[in-house]
Amino acid sequence: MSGGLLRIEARRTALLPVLPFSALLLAISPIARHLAPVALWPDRSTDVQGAVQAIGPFVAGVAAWMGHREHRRGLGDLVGSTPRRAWSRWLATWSAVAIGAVLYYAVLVAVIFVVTARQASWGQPVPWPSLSGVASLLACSVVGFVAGVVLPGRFTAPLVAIGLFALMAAAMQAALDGSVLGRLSPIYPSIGLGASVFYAIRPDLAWAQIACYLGVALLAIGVLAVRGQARRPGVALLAAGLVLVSGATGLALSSRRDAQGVVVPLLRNPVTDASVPYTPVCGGSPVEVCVHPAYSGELATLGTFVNRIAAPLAGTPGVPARVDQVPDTQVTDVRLTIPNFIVHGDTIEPPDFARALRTRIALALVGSTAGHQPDAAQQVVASYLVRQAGDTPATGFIPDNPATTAAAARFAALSPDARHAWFAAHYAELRAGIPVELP
Amino acid sequence: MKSRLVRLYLDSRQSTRALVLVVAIAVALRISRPWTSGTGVVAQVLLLLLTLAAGAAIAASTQTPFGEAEQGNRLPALRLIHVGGLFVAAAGTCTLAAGPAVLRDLAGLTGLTQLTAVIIGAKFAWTFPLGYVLVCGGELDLRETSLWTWPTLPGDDPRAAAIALVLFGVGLVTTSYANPERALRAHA
Repeated sequence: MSGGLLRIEARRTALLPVLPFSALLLAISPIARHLAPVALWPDRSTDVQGAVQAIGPFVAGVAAWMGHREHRRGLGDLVGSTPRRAWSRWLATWSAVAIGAVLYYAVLVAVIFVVTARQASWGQPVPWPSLSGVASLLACSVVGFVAGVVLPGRFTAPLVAIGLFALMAAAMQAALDGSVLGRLSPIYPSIGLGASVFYAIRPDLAWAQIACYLGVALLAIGVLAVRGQARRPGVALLAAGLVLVSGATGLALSSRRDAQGVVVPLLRNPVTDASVPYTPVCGGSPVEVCVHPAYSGELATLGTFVNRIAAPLAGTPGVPARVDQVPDTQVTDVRLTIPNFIVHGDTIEPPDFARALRTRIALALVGSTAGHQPDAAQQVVASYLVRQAGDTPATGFIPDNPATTAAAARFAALSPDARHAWFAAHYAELRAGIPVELP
Repeated sequence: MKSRLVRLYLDSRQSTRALVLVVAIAVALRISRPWTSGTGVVAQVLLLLLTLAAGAAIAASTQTPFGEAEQGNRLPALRLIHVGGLFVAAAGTCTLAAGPAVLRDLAGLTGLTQLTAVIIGAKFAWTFPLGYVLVCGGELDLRETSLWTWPTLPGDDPRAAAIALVLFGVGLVTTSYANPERALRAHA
């Protein structure tokens, strides 16, 4: 493959007119909406990987279109008489598409990282999701190109693009349903998000994903080489691809999930299990809210959020004076636990998430911690706390029960003095889980 | 209009291959029912993607082998017969495979692919609708719906049905009167 040929192909690639669609798509996608003022590096780095779903199918479709160009233009006889092997021509055409796709992705990564660098209050870019994204884009481009060469026709490009996205989505769903192989989907986060600001980043799955995509790419290039009269390198590429895909499949099959993400025993590094030391940032009154410094931009919102729920308990002896943010795995007392990819801007959204968070905080305030079923009185008081904060309890935490709702309404109907007196008399028992008589 | 002219026109558009593909997509719709009949995000997106595949196959078949040299006052009628016939086949087979609920999305997305074919060419008619389905998937993921993403609205929403119908009508009429090869030409 000569540089001149590559330059010609780069000018003639069909990727250029398609990229604006992808850019428009990304601009109106949830990824762009995530570029709100509050930024977490693991979250944004994973967004970068998620962008593959808005680029990969287009790249595959365009590559398929380029792959059957010779057939479409009826050039079979003409190019068949050239001294170089077909594989050399195809490699140049595919390289132009692949390089264009990777450059486009690199620009996207740079934009997201520059925006994040100006917003983030803690941490640094996480390279693993981006590397996984690049590898998956290479795989998309070469799979599309080979489809175009092997199955030339006007229907190949759209079906490859649509089919590839359907495959990504189906694998993602399989992963969410518990399938370990689904974790190899290019849009499945290669790093764990749930506790990633509290712990070191664990790249186990990223290695497996990268190996899988590079293996798929090598397999596809091997097919191309065999069809393009380069049998020996083709067989070598096929073998290398097979080894990588088999290895990645084995790694995925041996993987399991824990609170910090996916663990691959063979690649496990104990360093990534250690928590990262930090000094919490605190604010809010009368209940002080302390969060990880990565969330310092959200402190004011969270302080208001928590204190609105705790407002009826003000002045009650025994009410926690401080709420700490900790990962889900360490909930022992009144804790604010936040999935780090949801809270953005000056509101807590989406509504379902805000409702769940309110309910969890209300339950924690009345003594029910994660993993323990709240008793009837705790459910009623927590329900009241959530409702007086302007929401309804999340049914996942407090079952939708007419008796609970009615008791919470009776509680709300009390005068502030009567309610305060009740809390003063019964709050300690309520928190301890001792049955109390409700008003 | 002579039937031979219609047959030659349809042959030049690889209509038989498009028809086979449409039937194959309907079969795929049927096979994938266990995964597309739920209310989850992926189930709905998969259903939209399969529906879009049928529309994209119809749009891809509108490519002409003659380019701008193709002229004639019978072309609009021929294009109408071609696209309309394939759509009827897609509607029939997809309805048999997945029920009448897919009709709305099939009509709207087919209209969208036809409009894209007219604007940027039949070869890339799949690009904009695919991006649109991705945006719809994002909205479904966020549990948000709007008229801009009408496929995310419930099946019995009359506004979504009206938008789909209008898109299909405009797409059909536009593709009948405009030569996709005169669209903004892409490279290669």
